[in-house]
Amino acid sequence: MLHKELVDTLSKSLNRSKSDMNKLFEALGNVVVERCSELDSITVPRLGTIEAVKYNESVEVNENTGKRTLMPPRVEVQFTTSNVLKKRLNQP
Amino acid sequence: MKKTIAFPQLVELVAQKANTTERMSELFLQELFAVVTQELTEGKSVTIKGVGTFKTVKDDSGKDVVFIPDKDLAEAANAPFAQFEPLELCDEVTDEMLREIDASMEQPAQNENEEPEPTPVSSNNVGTRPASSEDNTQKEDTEPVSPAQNQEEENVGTRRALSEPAQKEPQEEPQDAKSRNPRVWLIAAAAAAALIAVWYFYTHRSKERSDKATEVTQVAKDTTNDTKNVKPKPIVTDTISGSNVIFTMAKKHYGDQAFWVYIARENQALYPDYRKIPVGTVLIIPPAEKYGINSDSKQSLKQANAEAMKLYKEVKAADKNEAKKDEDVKVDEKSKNVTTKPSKKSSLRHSHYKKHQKHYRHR
Repeated sequence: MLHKELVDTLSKSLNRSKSDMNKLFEALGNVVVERCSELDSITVPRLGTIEAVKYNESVEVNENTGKRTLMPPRVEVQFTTSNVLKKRLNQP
Repeated sequence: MKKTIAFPQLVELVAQKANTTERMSELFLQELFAVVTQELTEGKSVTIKGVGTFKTVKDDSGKDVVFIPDKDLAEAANAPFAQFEPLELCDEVTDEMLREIDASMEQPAQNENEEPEPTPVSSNNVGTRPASSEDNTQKEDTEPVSPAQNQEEENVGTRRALSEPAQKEPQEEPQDAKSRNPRVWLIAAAAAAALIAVWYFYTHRSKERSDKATEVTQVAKDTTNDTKNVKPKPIVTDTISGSNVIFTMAKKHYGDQAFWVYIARENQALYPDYRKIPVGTVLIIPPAEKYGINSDSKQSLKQANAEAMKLYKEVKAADKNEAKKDEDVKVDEKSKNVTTKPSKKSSLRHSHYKKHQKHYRHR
């Protein structure tokens, strides 16, 4: 489902205008960006957790050439699926 | 840092951002996540603008959800490290050196946990520093100002000296006027020719003088204008923060992060170890001309890298010295403990003496 379709679905189910929905989506996006840049995690019940994880710098060795590369530290945004959703997904 | 935002907090934050009621925000989020869960269970993907895409993937272990963050979100989260690039290590860098760096980086991290947060630094002061180092910075700060001031003073002096003849001129005129008194008319009519000659001579000379004087005043004016134009450049500063580190500063001010070493050098008197500059510190950004910084020149980049290696070695040497000192202190403490610790025998003797103190006194 694309963002547009999601906006349409929610505006219909909540009986609100699309502009209101877009406003709320924008606010959600801003909150997620703000929290992730602070390395916080956002927990959504029955869905999972969105969190920013910091990886320290590391040295990687190319097995073929033997050259070592210093990989810089980085922050990645990850999602961990909740057990409820996992069970629902794997229901026979 | 490292907070967990629960659903009620998320509702509150979204309501604040969207300027709506918390009830509206809660309904929206509940409905949104219900739709997302429904779509995922049906094996479809969902894209939320500004957040990312959720997809279901089938593995050997079963179905799971994969999240691909939105480009803006990923960039914002990784902003503090965005300027770093993978670096191929040369053969000179041994594994031992890397281990040493790791160890030295772990130490300050431990200290940071123990110590309270660094005090915020006012924009006027350049960090918290000892008094002796402050003097050095004051000298540095005044350096660009003092030559200009001296120049101005000199120019003022020259202006005065040069303007003197111009002021004397009008005084000379009446004297010559006196010499041109009607007495000349009494001497002889023949002297009239001589008088004309004298008059001609005087006018010619005064003209020359006045020309010279105007030239001199013009030169003086020019020099004063120059000194006015050559104002001391304002000192550029920048503050260390989570996303604004010494490397980002170099990229921002010089166009390449390789020039970070010159910022470190400029502030070395206050912060000898560039790796341990606390957040909130205001650093002086030296002018690019001072170190010949040119991001387009390969030679300038090479020089910066060489300087960085030099600084790295200096810092490592300082680390080693500190480690040695710590070891010496530990050894001293151990030896002190050994000397002060009473032996078993002596402690027994002491307890025995305490027990029979009276008896000993009596004897």
